[in-house]
Formats: sequence, structure tokens, C-alpha cells
Amino acid sequence: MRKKVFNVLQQGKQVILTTIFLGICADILFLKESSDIRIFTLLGIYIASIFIYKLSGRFTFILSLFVLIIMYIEFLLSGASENTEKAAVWLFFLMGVGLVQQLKE
Amino acid sequence: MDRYFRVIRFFIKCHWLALLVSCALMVVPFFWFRPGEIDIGGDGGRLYFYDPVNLIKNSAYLVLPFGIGGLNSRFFYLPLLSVLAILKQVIHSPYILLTLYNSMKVAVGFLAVYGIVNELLGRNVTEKRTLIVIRVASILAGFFYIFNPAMTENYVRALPSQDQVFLNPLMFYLLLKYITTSQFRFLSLGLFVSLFFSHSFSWTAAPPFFAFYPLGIIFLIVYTVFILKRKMPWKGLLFGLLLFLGLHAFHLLPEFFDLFSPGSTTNTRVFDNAYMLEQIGYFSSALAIPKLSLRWFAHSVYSQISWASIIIPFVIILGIILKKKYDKTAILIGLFFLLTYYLVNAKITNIGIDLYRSLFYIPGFSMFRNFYGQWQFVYYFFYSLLFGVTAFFLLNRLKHKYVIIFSSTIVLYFIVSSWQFINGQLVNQLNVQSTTRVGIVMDPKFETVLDYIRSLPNDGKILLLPSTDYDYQVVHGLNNGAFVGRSMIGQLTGKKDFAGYQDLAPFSDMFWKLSRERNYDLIKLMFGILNIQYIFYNSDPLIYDGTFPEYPYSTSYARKYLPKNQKEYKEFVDHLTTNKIFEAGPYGIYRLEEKDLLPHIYVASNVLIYDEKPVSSPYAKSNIFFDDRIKKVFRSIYLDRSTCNTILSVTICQRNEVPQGANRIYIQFQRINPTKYKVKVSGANHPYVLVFSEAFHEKWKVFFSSKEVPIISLATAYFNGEIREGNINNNIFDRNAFETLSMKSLPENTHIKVNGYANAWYIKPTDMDNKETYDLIIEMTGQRIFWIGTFISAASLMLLGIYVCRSSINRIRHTL
Repeated sequence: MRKKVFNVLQQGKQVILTTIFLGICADILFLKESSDIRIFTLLGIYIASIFIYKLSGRFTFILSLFVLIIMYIEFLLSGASENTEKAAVWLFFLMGVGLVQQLKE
Repeated sequence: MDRYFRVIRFFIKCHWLALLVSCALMVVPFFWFRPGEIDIGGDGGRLYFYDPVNLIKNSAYLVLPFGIGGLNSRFFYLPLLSVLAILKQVIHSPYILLTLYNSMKVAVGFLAVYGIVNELLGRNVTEKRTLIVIRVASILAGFFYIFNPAMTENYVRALPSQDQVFLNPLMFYLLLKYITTSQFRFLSLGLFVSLFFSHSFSWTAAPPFFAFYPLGIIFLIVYTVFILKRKMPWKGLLFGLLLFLGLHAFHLLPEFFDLFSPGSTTNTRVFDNAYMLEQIGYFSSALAIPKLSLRWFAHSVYSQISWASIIIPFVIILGIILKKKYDKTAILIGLFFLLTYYLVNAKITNIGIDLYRSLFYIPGFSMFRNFYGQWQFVYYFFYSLLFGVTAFFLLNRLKHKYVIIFSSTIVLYFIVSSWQFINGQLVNQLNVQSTTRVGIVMDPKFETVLDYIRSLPNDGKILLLPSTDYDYQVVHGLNNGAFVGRSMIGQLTGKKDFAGYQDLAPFSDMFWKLSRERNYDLIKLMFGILNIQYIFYNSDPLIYDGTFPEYPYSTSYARKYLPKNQKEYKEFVDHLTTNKIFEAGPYGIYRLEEKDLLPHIYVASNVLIYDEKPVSSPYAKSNIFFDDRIKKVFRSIYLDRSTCNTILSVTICQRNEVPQGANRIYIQFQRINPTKYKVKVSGANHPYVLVFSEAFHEKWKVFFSSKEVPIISLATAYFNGEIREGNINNNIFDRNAFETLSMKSLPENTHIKVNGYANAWYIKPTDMDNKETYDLIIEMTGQRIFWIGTFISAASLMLLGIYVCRSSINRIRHTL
């Protein structure tokens, strides 16, 4: 059973990671208020994915780069709006996770 | 000797570009002000560039030179003042002195960040190209640090006004060099620098100090132990710490005692629960101010080029991605950067805010209530280091010509984004709500006024008019500049002055109310209670009528109660006194009429009793007692009934008034320094109240002097010679600083607060061994701690000097 779940997760790597990324984008761009539960759930799933898929710190930093670009576009369009601020929070967490990963690597 | 020249030549060869840049940066402050202009105003003020010699005379005492003379040590300025006083003998112009000081700050700040990044990256690197790229990346980091908005932004104006800007990286660099080389000269240089800039290591500078040094030191320990895998030179560091404490004892010791003295401002700020809760409220209301995204896009404040603000975070993330092998130093800097990002913003998720809020329960953490401002320097410090290190990762992957193009573009971006700072527009700005600029060319006529006030023989206080909403004085210069800051008269003449509402506590509200009613009789009686004997009236229309329409004399406050223009002010002054004793241009000094004068020390002739009530503000306290009763008998004092019960009988205190037989007691007194007064009493054959019109503090004590007070040269006589005041003694150093140690002091229960603020002692003949004639010394005993601290500091300085000389001689011998 455990192995089965693991295999399913392995096969769904791209789907899961894409979902996480889209979840982050949705949180930044479409969901109105900031929610700790949402942020920490998504972050928790991403950290679990790091262990399951053995993601590198570099991968997390690439994700950070995308978030930075989203934050930048939001900043150009709407200034320091709520969306931009949410992106900044995500950038903070992703950079933190990336640095800790690198430290372990 | 030849070896030293070789070392210097090699150093210049390696770092010529950084040295060239720092020289160019040194020129920048010369664009800020025109020759002769100086910016010395504001809360902190920088009068030490203008007149360090006279400032020293008033900084060596625990008693403030303002208003009723509260306690607040400013000893930490003494080393800087001493050096500036010496420099002033060579460089006479305050403009040159101030500009050179700013130049030094910009250049040293840049060089220190350059040195740190170079040191962190250049360790064990021998390849020439890599070394060059490291130096280029270090220059970029230095540029980013100096030209980031926290340093240059309009409202902060950190670079020209706050020394932490260059001291933080400099001290970090010296500590890093000491830890990595174990050469004591780096530590000793750091100690000398810390002594010179003691004000940045004092309690006043606690927020920036505690924001930077704990984090900086933890970073260095982790870097040494886990990255360099070296042992920390703990012994040397401990020795350095002891020397540091010793060198700074002259200001730390009084501050330490103040911290643990119940009821003191410092004690309240650190240990009082109510104050902590108040600060949490302040923190919560300040949460809306910082913007998380703007901390990433640092240079976005310049709207025309805000589109380019992504460069810095982009370089950082790209640099980390492109680095093939992970770099532990970069990771460590990154973690510290994120930590400071959290500390400077606070609002990273609701859990983050709650966590931050709980930090305020740590004693002393409430100093970070303005977290977005107090952490920003340490944040930008680590941001600069991270940028420098990651820029190196990126540049190292590029071809030589692209390195030049890329780095030149970034430098150009920094320069363009900081252009308003470079050309002085952000520095020499307009005064708040005024058409005047902060850069002032001092009016020589005002300087003659200062000289005259210094020469006044007695200790009477001075009221400054026009009076402001706060405690500021406004002086217009010869150019379109004006000084707006803590009063120059108080700080440079040694005479206490009342520049505005805040200085007049507890009579602030009363003064405004009586002024609005034009009740001159009561105003003059109030002046007597506050020991105001002089009025300095600045009739210059440029400081009131047109150029300062609102701040610091707002229409809702000062202008609502006090005269609305200079014409009305002239009439106002004329009603108070017509006795003009000095005039220079628009500046006039008036002395109140003889009949209205009350000396600094006197014997009360009548006690007016009132019932203490809670008041909404300390500025309104006199509203509960100050009334027409004072008109009946001159030299009356106000005493609250509960205090009265402690010194007189309860039956007597039931009355509203208790007459005293003051006119049979003769006193003569002399100010030795602002913390010590000698008093000779005669004819005291019955109990009396000796009033000392200085802010009440339990550390003011009266000693029964065994030595006779010598006959003094008379400055002023009051009440037909019943009270005689001697010439002020202006010597900084009191040779008899500890003479009262062996003297008997009056019992604590005789010390009372009168007139809502002043010290008084109820003295009975039995307290003085039934003598009628005797000598007293009134002393602020807290001042002794300063002298003890000064002794420790001098001994530590000598020890450090000997140690440095010995190691230098050893090094030279070793080289030869």
C-alpha cells in the first residue's frame, strides 16, 4: 500500500509540482485576502514534495525567480498592492526553504 | 621601512578602483551645501560642528541645559566633542568640518562594505581574474549600501545624520579581520573608533546598536566556527570586551545606574509592564507602514526608474541559481538577510505578527516599536552583502567585457537613482512646512547674543520668544536657511532656557492660557516660580510671520494662544518688561523688573496648600494649583496637602495657607556647576523651607558643609539683600567633586516637591545642630558616578595605549 502510494506520487510529480506552483500563483493573483492556513498548507505540501521528489535547492530558487517576476509585474501594474505583498511573502518563504535546502546539500 | 612601502604599493595596486571610487564619493558631500552653510538642526542636532568648545561645557553634566533642568546624561558626546574642539582649532569653518565628516562617513561606509565582501569572497582565492571579479562585485556591494534608499531617502536622511551608517560596516569589518587574523591591531582600532563615536554606543543609540551588533556578532561566530572551521579567539575578544566596557564607563556607568533606578525613564522603558503594553499598541498601529515588496525593490522610490528596481533581487536569485557548487557563506548571509527582512517588516503572515508581538514582552525590546526604521540599516547591510556575493557568482560566469558592461550599468543605475541625493536636493531640503532650507549661514549678530548670554553673571533662566509648540528654537540665517532644533541658547551658553511648550512643563498649559487672557501679572508670577529672569525675543519676521506659517508654531496650538505675529509679540514683551539689556539686530534680551524676580534658591515666605488631583498630562499639572492666591504674598510656594502632612502637623495642613518667617533668614548662594551649588545661611533660628527651582529628583541632596563657604563676589541681590547670588563659576572640572562624601546630608523625609516640579527642603534648627549660621552644599549626587566612570575610562584608555604601543614596537622589531 505504502509503495503504491509512493509510486502514484512519483508518477504524478509533474502534476503535483505544477499544482503547487499554480496554487501559489492563485494565492498571489486571484485570492483576495491573505490566509496563513493557505500559505502554510501549500508550503507544507511543497516541503513534502522536496523530500518525496528529492528536489534540489536550485529548483526552489527557480521557483523563487518566477515568484519574483510575478511580484515585479504586479508591482509595475498596481504598486505595492495586496497581491504584490503576498508575492513578497511567498518569495521570502521560498528563499528560506531554498537556502535551508542548500545548507543540507 | 621599505617593506611597508611595498605593502602599501601592493595594496594600492590591488584596490586602486575601490580607492578611486571612495575618493570620488568623498567629493559628493561638497555638493550638498554652499560654502558657509551648515545643517545643525533637528531633534538630535549637530551643534558640535558649530561650537564644540561651548558644547563640552554643558555636556559634562547630568542636568539638561533646558527648561526646569531634568536629568539626562549626554556624556557620550564628550570624546567626539573633544576631538572636534581640537580640529576646530585647525579647521575654523564649521562648514568644512561638517562636510569632511560627511565625506568620511560616505567613503568609510563604502570601503567597509567593499572590504567585507572582498574578505568573505577572496579567502583562499589566488586566480587573478577571479580576484578582479571579486573586487568588482565588492564595489557593487559598497555602492548598493551607500546609495540604497534607507540611507538616502528624504525623510530619513540617514547618511548625513546617523553614524551607524558607516560604523556598522566598519566595526563588522574590523571584527571580521580580527577573528580571521587574530591581529590585535584590528580590535584596538575598533575600540578607538568606538570611543570616538561613543554616542553610537550609548543608551540613546540602543535601538540601532542592539539591532546590529548582536546579529553581526552571531554571524561572525557562525562564519568562523562552521565555515572557516576555526577556533574563535575568545580570550582576545573577552579582553576586548572588558576594554570596551572600561573605555565607555564614563557614559555607560551613569546609564547603568539609571537603568536600575526605579522610576527613571530608562527603567520604565525597560521594565514597566504598562509601558510594554503601550508599545505593543504602537507596534500594531505601525504595522501598516512597511511594504514588503518595497524592501525587495529598494530603489523603486524613484518613480522614473522604478521599472529597473528588479535588478537587485534578480541578480541575487540568478546568482544563487548559477552557482554550481553551493557556497556556505552565501547561504549564511542569505539566512541573516531573511531574518532581518522579517525583523524590518514584521508582517509576514499573521503567525509572524503574533510572534513579533510576543517579542515585546522581552524587557527592552519595546525600543523596536519603530521596527521598520530601526532594523532597516542592518537589513540593508545584509542585503548589500548578499548582493555583492551573488553578483560575484553571476559576474564570474561572464566574459570580461560583459563584466565591465554589466557592472557599469548597475553602478550607473545606482548613481541615477540617487542623483537627488548626490546633488544635495535630498539633503539640503526645506524645513518642515517652511520656505527656508536646513542649510544655514549663521548670523554673526546671533553669535554676539550667545556671547552676551554667556557673560550674564547670575543663574536666572531665559524664556525664548516666539515660543514654539515643542521645545524648538528657530533662528534665521544670513541666507535662506534656518535653524530649527533644540535651543542653541541652552546648549551653548550654559543658561537654561524655555524654548516652547514642552520645556515649560508643568506650566505649559497655564502659560498658554494666561497668554491668551493677556494676564501679565500672573504670567510674571509664574516666571518667578520657574526662575525665569530673562526674555530672549527674536523679532525677525523671517522666523514667524511668513516663512513658518504652521510648524513649529501651529495655528491650533502656539498661535492660538500666543501672539499671532511679530507686531503683537512686541506688545506682549513690552507688557512683561521694558528693561532691554542687550540688542543685536532683531535679537533682544530683556530682564524682568526687579520686583518680579525670584532667584534660583530662596526661602519660602508663604506655603499655599492644595489637594493633589490626577491630571491628563504633565504639561497641565499646574492647572490644579496655580491661582490668584500667589498674588498676596511674594515668594509663596505651592505644596500639596499630603506632602504638607509629612513635614508639618495635620492640623496646620488643614489650612489653605501657612505663612513662614522667611524675611529673617539671609542666604547667599553660588553656582559651582550645574550639578552643585554652595549656600550660606544665617539667621535660621526657626524651621523654614529652602526652595531650589530645579526639576525634583531624589538625587539632589543638601549637605551640611563642614568647610565655610568663602565670601563670593556679588552678582545679584534680591529682596534688599536678604538673598545674594554670587557670580557663576564656569569651571568644567570641580576639584572638590567628592568633598560631600564625608559630609552629613539632610534626612530624606525633609526633601519635598513644591510648585509642582521644584526641589525644597524643610529645614529645622535641630537638623543643623541648632546652629543659626551654617554652610550648605546642594548637589546632584548622580554626577559622582560620571566622575568614577571617567576615571575607569581614562585608566582603560591608558591600558589600551600601552598595549598598542608595546605590540607595535614588537612588530617593528620583528620586521627589522
